[in-house]
Amino acid sequence: MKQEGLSFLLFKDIENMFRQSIIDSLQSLFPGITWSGLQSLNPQAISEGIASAYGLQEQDVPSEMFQSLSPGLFESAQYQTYAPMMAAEGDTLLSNLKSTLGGVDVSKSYGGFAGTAASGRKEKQARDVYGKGLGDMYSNIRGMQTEALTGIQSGIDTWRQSAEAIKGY
Amino acid sequence: MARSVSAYGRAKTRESLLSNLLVSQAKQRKSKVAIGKQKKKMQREFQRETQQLYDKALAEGKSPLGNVFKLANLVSTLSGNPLAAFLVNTATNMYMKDRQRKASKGLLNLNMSRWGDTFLSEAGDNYLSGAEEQQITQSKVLLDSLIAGGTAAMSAGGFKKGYGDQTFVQAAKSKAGLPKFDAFIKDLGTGQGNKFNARDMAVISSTLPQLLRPLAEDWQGKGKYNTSQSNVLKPKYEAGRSQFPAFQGYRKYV
Repeated sequence: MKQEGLSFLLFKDIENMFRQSIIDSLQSLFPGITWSGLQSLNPQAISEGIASAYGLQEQDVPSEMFQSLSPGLFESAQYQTYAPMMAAEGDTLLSNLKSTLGGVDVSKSYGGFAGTAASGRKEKQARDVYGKGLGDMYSNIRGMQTEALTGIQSGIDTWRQSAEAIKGY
Repeated sequence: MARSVSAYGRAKTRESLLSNLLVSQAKQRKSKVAIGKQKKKMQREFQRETQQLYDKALAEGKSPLGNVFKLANLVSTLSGNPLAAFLVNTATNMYMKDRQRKASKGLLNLNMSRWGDTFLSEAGDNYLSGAEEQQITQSKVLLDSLIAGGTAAMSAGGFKKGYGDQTFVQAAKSKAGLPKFDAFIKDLGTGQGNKFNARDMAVISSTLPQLLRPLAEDWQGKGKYNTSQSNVLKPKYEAGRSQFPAFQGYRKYV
């Protein structure tokens, strides 16, 4: 549980950092917008915000030009989506580590020589396997979360590109 | 008891993300297509607006009085006095050119508050630049016409030197000249395109001959402006049309 708490903080921080960056960049288009507000932006609201921010007439940037962001991306961008998977994988890895380091099977596998140099090496290997497993899992989840956040940013960039194409930049 | 996670569970999470990304990418592609469509739509609207301005300027510049003027010029020529013909022709030409110049001003009415902030602003600027150039050209044509008319009139005036206090052109212009022809032209009516109405016909058939009568009579030696062929113009006229400056002006603008 301790590891789950630490990982939660780590991923929550990353998520918040990305979110804030996206929200900050959107203030010029939609002043005062929040993360939940971004999720509920529909094409009409996007069209109005873009027209106002770029000094265009709404008829020149109609709502058909804009797509709202996929709700699934917001889901994939938040830590909670991965929390069950992370907890389960963490438990599995921990369970494997425990069974390697202690218990009946461990002493058997060491050939009755627990505490010897050979058992020390085995213990280090087991901890390395556990550490690598955790690292891979974090990296994998962080990658997915980042991809989702990048997808959101990319969708917003498309709004800007649409406006800039009409503006003639 | 440790919670277990299956390979299926991990793949499912990954698959969900990829699916969301694909949906997002598809939306972005749709947006790009929509940008292209919107730009084309705006280009068409822009072209339609400029075409309408052009058509309007063309219609307004092409005087509905075109044929009326031709008839007026014919009647004035038939009056027998080349000065009368010259005056009517100069007046109708100036009217036409001024009309074209005023009509071409309409080309400047492009709605730049709409296009100026868009990718079409450059096209709008180019269009307006062309329209302004057209204005300058039209003004120059009108100016040239006035200068040529003035030059011809001055030359015609030269004939009268030594033949009285009033020059030929001064007399013609003050008594039956341009101001009256100008009023005559403005009085012409509402005919459209290649047609002119009964009122126009009446104006031409009744007013113009009356207007020209003093000059025609004078040409026949009965008038008081000293422009008759016998005492002023005849020797030069007999020397050939091309040597008659007023007529040169007339010929130039036919």
